[in-house]
Parts: sequence; C-alpha cells; structure tokens
Amino acid sequence: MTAPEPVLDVRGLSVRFGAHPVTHDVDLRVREASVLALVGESGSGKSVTALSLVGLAGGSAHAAGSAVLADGTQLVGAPPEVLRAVRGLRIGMVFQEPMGACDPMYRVGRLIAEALSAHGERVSREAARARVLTALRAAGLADPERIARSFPHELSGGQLQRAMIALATIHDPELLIADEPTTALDVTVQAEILDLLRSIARERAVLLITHDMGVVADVADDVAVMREGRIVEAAPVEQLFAHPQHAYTRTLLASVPRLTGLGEGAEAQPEARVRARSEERAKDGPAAPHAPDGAAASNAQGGARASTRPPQPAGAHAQGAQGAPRAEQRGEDSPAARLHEAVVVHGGRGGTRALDGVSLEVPRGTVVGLVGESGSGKSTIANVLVGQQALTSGWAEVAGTRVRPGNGREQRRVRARIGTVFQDPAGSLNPRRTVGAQLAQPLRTHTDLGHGAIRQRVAALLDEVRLPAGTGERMPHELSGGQKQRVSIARALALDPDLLIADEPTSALDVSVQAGVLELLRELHDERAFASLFISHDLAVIEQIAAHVVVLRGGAVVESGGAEQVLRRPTSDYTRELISAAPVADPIAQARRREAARAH
Amino acid sequence: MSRALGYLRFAAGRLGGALAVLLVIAAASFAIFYLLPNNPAQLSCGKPCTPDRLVEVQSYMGLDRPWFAQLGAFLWGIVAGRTFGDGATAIHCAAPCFGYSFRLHTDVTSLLAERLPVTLSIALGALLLWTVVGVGAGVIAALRRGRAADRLLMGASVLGVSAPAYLVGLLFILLFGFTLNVLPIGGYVPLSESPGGWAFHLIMPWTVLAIINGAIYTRLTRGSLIEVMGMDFIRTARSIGLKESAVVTRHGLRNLVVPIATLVALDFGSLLGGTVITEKVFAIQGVGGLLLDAVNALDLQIIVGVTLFAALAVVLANFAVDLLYGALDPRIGAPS
Amino acid sequence: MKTTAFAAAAITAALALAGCHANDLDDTSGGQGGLGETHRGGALSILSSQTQMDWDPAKSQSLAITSLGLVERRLTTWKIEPGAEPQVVPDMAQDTGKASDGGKTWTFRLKDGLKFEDGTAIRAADVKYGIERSFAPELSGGLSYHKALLAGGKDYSGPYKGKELASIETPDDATLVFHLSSAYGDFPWIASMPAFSAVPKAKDDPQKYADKPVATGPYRVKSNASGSSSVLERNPEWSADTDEVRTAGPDSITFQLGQDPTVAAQSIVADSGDAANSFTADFVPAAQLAQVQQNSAAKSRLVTSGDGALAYLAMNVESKGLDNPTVRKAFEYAVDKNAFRVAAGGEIAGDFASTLITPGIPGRQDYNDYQAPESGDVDKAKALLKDSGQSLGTLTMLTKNDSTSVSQAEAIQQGLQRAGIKVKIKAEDSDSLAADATTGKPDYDLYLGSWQPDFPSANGNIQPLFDSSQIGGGNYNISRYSNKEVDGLIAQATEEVDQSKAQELWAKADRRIMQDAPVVPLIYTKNSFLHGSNVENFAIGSFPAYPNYLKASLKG
Repeated sequence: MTAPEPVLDVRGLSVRFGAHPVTHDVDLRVREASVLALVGESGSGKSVTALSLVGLAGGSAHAAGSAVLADGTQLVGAPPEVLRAVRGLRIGMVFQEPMGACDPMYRVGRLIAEALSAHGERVSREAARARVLTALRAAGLADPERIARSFPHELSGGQLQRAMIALATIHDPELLIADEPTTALDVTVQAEILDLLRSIARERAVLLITHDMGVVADVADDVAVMREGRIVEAAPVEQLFAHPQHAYTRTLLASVPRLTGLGEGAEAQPEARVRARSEERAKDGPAAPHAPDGAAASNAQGGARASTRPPQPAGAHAQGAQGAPRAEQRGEDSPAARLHEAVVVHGGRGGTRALDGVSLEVPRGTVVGLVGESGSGKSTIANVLVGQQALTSGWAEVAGTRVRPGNGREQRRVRARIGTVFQDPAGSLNPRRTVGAQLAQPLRTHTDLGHGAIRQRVAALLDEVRLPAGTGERMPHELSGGQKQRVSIARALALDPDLLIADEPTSALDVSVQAGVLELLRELHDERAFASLFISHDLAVIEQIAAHVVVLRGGAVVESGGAEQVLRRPTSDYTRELISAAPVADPIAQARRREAARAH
Repeated sequence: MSRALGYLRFAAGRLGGALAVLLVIAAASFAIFYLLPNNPAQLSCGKPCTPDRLVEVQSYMGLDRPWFAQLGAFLWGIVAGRTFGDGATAIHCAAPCFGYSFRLHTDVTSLLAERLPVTLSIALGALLLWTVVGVGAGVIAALRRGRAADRLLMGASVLGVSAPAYLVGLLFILLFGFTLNVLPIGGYVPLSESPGGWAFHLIMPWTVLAIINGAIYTRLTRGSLIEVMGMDFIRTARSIGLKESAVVTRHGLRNLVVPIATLVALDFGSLLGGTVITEKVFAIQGVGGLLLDAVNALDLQIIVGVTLFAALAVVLANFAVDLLYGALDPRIGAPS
Repeated sequence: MKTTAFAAAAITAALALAGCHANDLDDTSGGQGGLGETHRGGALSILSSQTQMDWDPAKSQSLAITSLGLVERRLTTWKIEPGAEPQVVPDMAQDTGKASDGGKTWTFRLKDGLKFEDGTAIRAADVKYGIERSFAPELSGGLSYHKALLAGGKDYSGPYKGKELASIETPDDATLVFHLSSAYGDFPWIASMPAFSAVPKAKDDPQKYADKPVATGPYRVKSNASGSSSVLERNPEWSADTDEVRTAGPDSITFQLGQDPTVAAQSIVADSGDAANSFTADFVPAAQLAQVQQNSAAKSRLVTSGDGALAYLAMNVESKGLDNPTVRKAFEYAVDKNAFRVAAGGEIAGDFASTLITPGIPGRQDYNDYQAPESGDVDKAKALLKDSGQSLGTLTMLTKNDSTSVSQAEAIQQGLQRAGIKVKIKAEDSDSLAADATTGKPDYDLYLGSWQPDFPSANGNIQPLFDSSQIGGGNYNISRYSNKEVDGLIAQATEEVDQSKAQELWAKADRRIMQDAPVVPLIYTKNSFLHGSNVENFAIGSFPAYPNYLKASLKG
C-alpha cells in the first residue's frame, strides 16, 4: 500500500471543449493496489477527466497538463496510436449501464475475445475461449460457458457488469477506470459489484468515478472531491468522512439520504440537511418568495415533519396476499388507490408472473412507499393504476372507481384523477413546447377554465414548486434536471389529483438536487394532502417521505407496514438484506456492516 | 415454448394476415375497375362495334356476370385453375391462375413469368448498386460529419431524392446515349443470351434508379451511423483499444444492418411490382410495362393479376423483413 | 367502333402539332417524300411505342399499307403514292371484284400461283376461313365492317363451333362469291381489310396465330417477342410478279417495340448507328418537332402528311337550344378556328376545314357554306342567335384531358364566349371520353374530337358520323344527328356500285349535312414522321396520313 511511484500521476490536467474549459488544474495520484474515488455531481468534470486520460473524451476535447503512468508514459498530448495501445492493454475501463455499454449484436464471449485480440495478439480460438472463460469466472460468474454464449440482453445487469469487468481486465491492466459502475444497478447487485471491485483493487489500481458517498465509503482508499472542474478536497477516505475540510464536501455528505438508525452518522443530520437544502435551492433556482428557507428548514426537522403529517388511519396498511381490503361505505371514504389480489401474467399461460396476487391500499392523504429491486413489479403496479396494464385477475381501483385499460369516458376521468412523475424528467416533457404550455395542457383538456384562469393557475403551480415565474416561457432544455423534475411535479399536480404516482422521481438526479426535490414533494404533500404511491429502489429515499412501506420481490409483497417498523425492525430476511446492502456514507460504519454481513 | 415453435406460430399468424391483405386488394381492384365507366369488352369488340357483337364479346370474357361472381371465379382460379370459353377453343389456365388476357391470348401467370426476369434484372442490379453506393456515401458523410465531403454528399442526396425518374432517365439518355454515344439508349438483352449485353443495356436504368433511391440510403445510413457512433458500446469498443476502422465496421455498421436490410427488403418488394417509369423511358418491358399496357387497354385480368402479384411481393418482403429481424438482431426473437 | 382507334384519331390532333412553321409545302394533294428505284437489301427498323405486335389478321385494325400488309396479302389492297389519289387495286384477287345483283353479290377470282410461306397453294377456302374466324368472339377486335355487310353475319360466331358462313361461297379453289345483306358499292375497299387474308385451317391455333401467322406477303414473322421486338424476314414463296404494290426492299424489317416516342424521335434526329436505318411509327412529339426545325439535317428527314383527320366540334342536336338549326349555324360563325389551330400547334397542325369529306378522299368537293374570317364572324353569330329567339344556358363540352386538347377546348370556349355562349369544359381520359360520348345517356352539349376514315372512301367520312343508325351503342354519331334525307343519301351512295356516281352522292350528302350544321369542321390535321438518313422511298400519300410501309427501303 505504500509504493512510492503512483500508477497514475495526474498533475495540472485541464480539459477544454473547443474554447470552453471544463476542468482546471486537476491533480490525482492513483496508488498501486488501491481505489481512488473521484467524487462529484453530474457536470463536475469527473468523467471528462478520466476519459481524457485515454483520449476518449470526444473529438473536440483538448487536454493540457500531465498524466504519467508508472513507466513514465505521458498520456496528455500522446498520439492517438499510443493512446490506443494504452487502452485495454494498460488501462481498462468499465462504464455505467452495462446494457448500453455492450454491443447488442454480439455474444458476450465474442466481445471479450475481441478485446483479447484488439492489440494484434495472435491467440488460437481454443486459447481465447479458455481465457475468456477464466476471466468470466474470475469476475465471479459461476456459469461462464452460458454467459459467454449469451447475448447482452439475455443477462441481468449484475451479470453483464461482471462480464464487462472481465472484458476490461482481460489484459490484466495496471489501472482500471470504473465510471459509475454501479449506478444503474439494484442495491443488492451493487453491493456484489463493489465487492468485486474491491477484490480487483487488491492487484491493481482503480480509479472509481462516482457521485455516491455510500459507494465511496464502501470501497475507496483515497477520495478526491470535484466541483465545477476543480478538485476541492483530496484525502484518505477515513479522514475525509471524519473531518471534511471543504464546505462542499460537507454538503455532499449531508445531502446523502440515509436510513436513520442504521448508519452511525445520524447525529449530524438535521443541521447538515438544512444547509444542503438551502444550497440546492440557491443552485436550482431562486427560492419562491413566500417560502423562505427558514420555513422549509423548520418543516424539514424530523419532529415537525411527523407532526404535520395527517394522522394515519388505523387500517391504512398494505396487506399481503391474505385478504381483501374492507369495502368502504362511501366513495369519499374509499382509499385513493387499492389493488386486490392483482395478478399480471406476461406471455399467456405459463408466462412470467409480473404481479403475483398483490393487495395493497393507499389511504387518502398518505404516502405509501413501494420498495423493491428491478423486476419486483413496482412499475407494473403503477402501470396497472394508470390503465396501461390489464390485470390477469384481481382488481384495481382509484378513488373508488375500477381502473382498466381502454379509453372510455369513465377511464379517462379516472386517469385525470392521477398525477404521475417519472424517473427521467427530460423524457416525460415535450422538448418542443414551453413549460407553460405543457402545464396548461391538462387544464385545457380536463377543465373549462378560461384563458386567463389557466394562466393564473400555471403561475400558481410554478410558484408552488418553487420555480421562478418566468419559467413558464422557457423550453425544457433550458432547465436543469432538478428544475425539469419540478415542472413534472407541477404538471402532475395541475389537476389536484387524488393520487400521485411517483416512479423513482429522484433516481436520475444528483444527490444535492435529489434532496431538494424530495423536500419539495414532502412540503407539497403537507400542504395539499394528496395520497401518493412513491416508488423507489432506495430505502433511504423511501424513509424520508413514506408513512407506509411495502416491500416487493418477484411480484409479491414480502413485507408491509409503517415506515418506522419496516425499516427499523424488518421481519423478513429480504428486507434485512436490502437494508444491509445499501451502502452507508461512512467508511468505518460501512466496513463494520460489511464484516457483519459476511459473518451472517 | 421453444423458439422454433414460436417462430412457426408467428409465421402462421403473419401469413394469415398477409392472405387477408391480398384478398382485400384483389376485391378492391375488382371493385374499382367496375366503378369505372369503361367497358373492357368495347376494346375487344372491333370496329365498328355493334351492340349484339358487344354482348357476345362480353359474355365470352365473362364480363356479363356480376363483379363479385367474377372476383370469386378469379380467386378460385388462383387456387384451382380455371377454364375460359368452351368447346374447341376453350382455354385452360392452370393453377395458380392469375387470370387470362383475351387481348394477348396468354395467361397472366405466363406473362408474369416472362416479364419477371426483366424486372428482376433491373431491380437486383439497381438495388445492389444503390445499396453499395448509398450506404458507402452515408458512411463517408457520417464519419466526415460537418466537413466538405459531408455537405457535398448531403447536397447531392437532396437532388437525388427530389429528382423525377423520368427527367433523370431522359437526361442520361441524352448525355450517354446521344451526346457521348457510349451506352445503348434502351432495350433489354436477356442474361442467358449475352451477359455482357445484359449488363451493358442495364447500366443506365440501374444508375438512374440508384441515383434516385440511393439518396435515401445515404441519408438513412448517415443519420443512423451518427446515432450509433454516439452510443455507449462504441466507447466500450474504443476502450479496449480497437482500431477505429474496426470500431466503425464491427460495431457501427453491424448495428445498421437491421434498418438497412429492412429498407432493402421493402424496396425490393416494391421494385418487383414494376419500375414503371424507368421501364418506359428505357423501352424495357418488365412487369411495370405490362401493367401500364394493361391499364391503357383496360385489360382487367392483367391489372388485377399484376396488382395482386405486386401486393404479394410487398407482403412477402414485409414477411421476410419480420423473419430477418430475428436473424439479424439477436434482441428480437419470435414474439411469443 | 373501337375506342383505341378513336383515341388514336383524337391523339392525331393532339400530337401532330407544335407551334412551328414546318414545311412550307402546302399542296392539297397532300403527302410528301418521293418514290424512286428500290434497292434490295439491308435491315430496316421501325420504332414503335406499341408494346406488342398482333399478327393475327382477324384481330387487326392495321391499315392496308402498314405492318400487317407486309406479311398478309388480302383480296384487294391500296395503291398509295404521293401526289395521286388513293386507289383500290387487286392483291390476291385478279381484279377488285365484280358486282352483280345491283351490288349485293361480289365475286373475286384468285390469281394463279399464289402460295403460303410453306409452299402450299392458297385456295379460295383459305380466304373464306380467314374471314369466318374473324367472327369468333375469341378473335374479336379487328376491323369489322364486313360483319354487318355479309348476309347472316349478325348471327354467326365463327368456325370453331363447326359452322360455316353460308354467304361466302367457294364454287372452286379460285373463286369467292360474297352475298351481302344489302348492296354496297365500296365492297372492293372492304376486301382490302385484314380479315380478307388467307388462313390455312390446318395451321390455325387461335391462341398462337398472332405470333406466327402463315405468311402470304413478302415477309414472314421470324420472331415476335412482346415488349422487345418483332422481326420479319423474307418469305421465299412470295413472288413480286403477282404483286403490284409491294416493293420488298429490305432483307429484314424489325419492329422495335415499347419505344418512348421522345427517345425514338431523339435517336433518329441523332441519326447514329442503327437509327440511320430506322423510322418512327409514332407521330413526332411536339418538342422534337420544334427541335427539328432548328436542325437542317434532321429537317430534311421529317415527313409531314397532307391534310388528314378532320378535327371538329360536334353539337348534340338533341340537347335543348342546340336542337334549333339556327342556333347551330350561329356556332359555325362564332367559333374561332384560328385560335383553335394556334392551340393545336399552328400552321403545321393542319389547314382550316369547311367540309366533312377530307382532302385526299376521291370525289371530295370543296365548298364553304359559312364563309367567315378564320377567327369567325361574331356579329353574324350574334344576329343568328337573336333570330333564333333561343336562350342558351351553360353548355357542357367534352374533350380529352391532355394539355393540348384542353387548350384547344379553351380556344373554342373563348371563341364562343365572344358571341355570348357560355361553355363549361369537361376534360376526361380517352376511355371515359369514348364511353360518355358514344354510350349511355348523352349528358353533353358539345364534343371536341377528330375523325379519320378507315378506308379512303367518302363513305368512311360520312356514314359513321352522320347515319342515324350510328347513334349511341358505342357508335360515333356523337351529334346524334338524324335526317331521313341524309340517311337516304347515305344508303343510296353506299349501294351504288359505280364509284363516280357514288362520289357525287357522298358530296351531296356532305353539303346536305352541313346545311343542318350538326358539326363545326375546324381543321384537317397533319401528322409528322422522322426517318433515318439511309431510309428512302419513305412517303405519305394524300390518304392516309401515315407512311407507306410497303414501299420503304434502304439505300444501297
């Protein structure tokens, strides 16, 4: 761990695209057999820094400064042929979204074999096959033959990311650059991949790029924090977490949503959070005039939050497969949404069961969190409720009305009672229409408000989501990710819905932005008391907003109950597994939990 | 369900749909024909034509029966063959009988068989030429995006897309046929007679079709390649140190095979229906010419027969595209 | 009558035009190009837009002097030379027929030594069989004047059901006797029609005969590929000694099929390679006609016919207002013939017309009952309209929907407008036009078209357009003109065996009809053709307005 010469020594690296500078004077030293985590939010320049080292930052990128490998090879300004020889052979790379990073046309084994022969090495077919299988096995894949034979789409994200790691390390490079390698993965899979990275780092240097402080705490030896193209702080991981020097580092640490009581760092929470929110507000757009930071802050205090929540009805909990919810006497009293014995089977008889007898209830005025990994049926439930997915058996209703696919008048009326917010705000907004026009559209379709009234309502909505009044005239591409998501929320709430379905609304956002959006949702909920089905894979996020939690796995309810109870005193092994796999942004606590999990 | 069985069921379903489409097309062409005020018997009646004679000719051609009865007889003829007239001059048209032209005294099936090699020659050659040239130009434009070569090719492709075949054909004839006098101005030499002459006579039609249709391929290739080259797996391919040429061919172009093959198959299908204008300009008598003549002469049997054949070609091409998808893109299996 | 021929006649006006001053040649005898010595040898090409050649005489509407005339001889044929009136002359027969029974019975004797291409002698029975098979519905579509003339023809439907036509007798191998249902003086012309060819019964397959007829003329069909070409080679059994009209110059004649008329004309203008040995079967398109005017080399190879088809405006004498002869006479003055000719392409499009019998037809008498300037006499028209006391609504005029026809129709429309007559143009494709004008309910008031007879007799000018029996049912009395006196004159002239007497009667009928003014004669249209520099004896007679294929030959 104390090799004098770093594997990669970056000094004063500045990258610009054309005339536009992106990073300034970046210094990085990646030590042998260790993980250097380069942390920052999107746009901070961390990926550009890494990619520019190997000449993959794009045609118009221009780097200045120095980046030297252990043997003295200078990467900055090196001719393309030199960089090509370095890529794969001496520096391997793993990227986010393994599904996108694999050419869908080829079998996985063929892709790895291609990497093997990319540098002119003559390898016999049999030898290549053997090496591919060995590499796959080394990446922790138990059935390398099958994996090698498979096309990317036939594998799970975790399997594929392992295969990509096998591909990146096939030439046993001295440095592995891992660019957000677990971001797109489920939490339990993420834990496995991080384990793999850790074991890889025993033999070589790893430059890990991530935005997730939990991940940093889990695997990094050293950390460099990047903001707006500059390294603001660099330190060994324990030191950084224990004594963050720079304000930004503290903000980052504070904005990480965490499961209280699980991570040991809970004591510093309230204060840090408030600050994080204020900063986010300042960055994301000016604060709404009537909502001073102080108000938001006081609202965000743990106690205040609980007290302002409407009282929870006694029967308001999701029920397993054991029984139907009670029928309500009046439509007014019927829950905002209800699923009874819902079964969805894809692909006819004998097909896969996306939902397997799910019954749950979202009481009026309550936020129900729906947790599970990909494929657990979270989004299927959302689709059923908005009428995009027919039930194979069972029934579903929203505000007392049965929902089913189709465009009948009744169904359209039900759908107008539901607001939806999705993961990718860019994808759910029309890029060619102004924000104001998009907010006005549902009002124009479903209400008989006049022109002026609609304009007033749009302005009020923008104000409610803390966006400046002028936002209405802007196009979506002029907005930041957080602002776009605020527009999505405003649109979802335009018709004052009975039910808000939020499907991973913060997953695509940076941590500090995520905190702001979560805060907004919480405030709006407090003000307007709509019921919400909040879908997330992130337990910490769920904990922050949901009163009730339903844990799904393989289309069935594993556990449900009050948030407190499910997250603090889980009764099922699976919930426990989920909780323990979520990394905690504290290297010491995380190391302890890891030990505990291993012992388990 | 096994993949093969799934495929079979999928194919059967598609086939059923295709048959329904063809049935509707046959019925529609019959119906449209009978909505026209013309009487095809009038054309075969002679000059002068007396009303008695007209009735006689009409009944011989079967035109005195209601249109749906004629349609039924026509469709049944495809399945089982049919006989026209009676006695010594009765004509048997064996299955699959796509009709019988009283004007040409030939069954439509033989006419198609006779004309198809001609159209096939034009179609295959032109398709090959424009695919190679169009895709090649698209690749160059995509890789030189924004530079002079790209702008030149894109400009040229706008011309290609918007140029009418008739005009381009005549200009080519004027230039290469008359002014330079290096290529024959038209006509067709069967491949079996003289492969050289065959190609020599087809150079101009191929080129004209390629200019007009290749431009679309250039645009498609350019757009798709630019898109593909921006995908994450291209970065992966570069990250393993692959040569740029290998990145472009193995990963860039490989991912264009599906959209291009789709276009090729569909274009091939519609080309088989006849390249009417090109055939006319270059005095080549293929399927398109057959149809054009038939329309001019109100030859119902040929019109319906060729229309059905052209529809069949398009339907089969679509069918082939669906099957191709499964073969060319591993992500697309048989939908179960 | 047949719509394609009708359409072709209409196209005559449409295509043989283009605004340019072509030949200053203005001889009313018509025709151009000369005939000289015929060199034997060479390969002649004829460029045609047609896509297939149908060599079956029963189905043919071919003129006696074009394609089928090279392969099949008939009982009589046409002697067509520039500067001379068309003549009917003996072909397989020794003379042009002997009439008896006042023109109801016609007797022909075949020449000695006539042979089919396979060497067998041609017998009277072969000619009889050839005529009989033209009655079969399987082989319908050819020129059919004889079908109504021959006694019992109405109920006869061909030899394939085992029946013969009793009105044709063959007392011996060389004699044919035709019994007609009524006297018909022009029967010698009828005997020149394609159906009067010889067909050996033993070699007849009605499905295949169109590709491989048994030749009697100087050429036989070597190959016939639909869509590409039809090749004729010499028939060794043909003897020039028995044939006074065919010169049989080229060793072979190839019809190049499916040629775009523009490309064909262009290649002959360029005159390179095979084009020097070629001529166009189609009229030269307007654009090339203009181009040729600028090219003296090509201009010398352009041959323009004399006055051909009659372009005319027909008035439906049954429609309201137009049933008044005074109103129709007003039209004779109101129409602007000059504007019409300009729209048709100017002087080269044809000469102004005033008669129904077209120039070049024997016995035509020139007259003009409605003397007026070429652009009309509007005052006179207005006066006549006032006299009639009729008020006309908006009249519907049928015409073809190509651009030339429409601009011609507009010229007529504007001309009539000057006299306060409102016209609505209804332009249709040729098939719909034929249907609307000749069958069903006559929903039109005016019709703009043209007409060329099928044989050079005034009969062909007058009878189809003005006999009351030719109203509706697919026939071409589009004016729906019915006058007992005219019907009588037509019957009398038709039955008259003495040609000079018949011609007098036709001329009388011509003038009598024009007194009733059912049509406005506009112009006699001209056609232009191009030939290569090595083609000679390429000539157009005063009738028809097509080149004489039987004489065309190549330079040595």
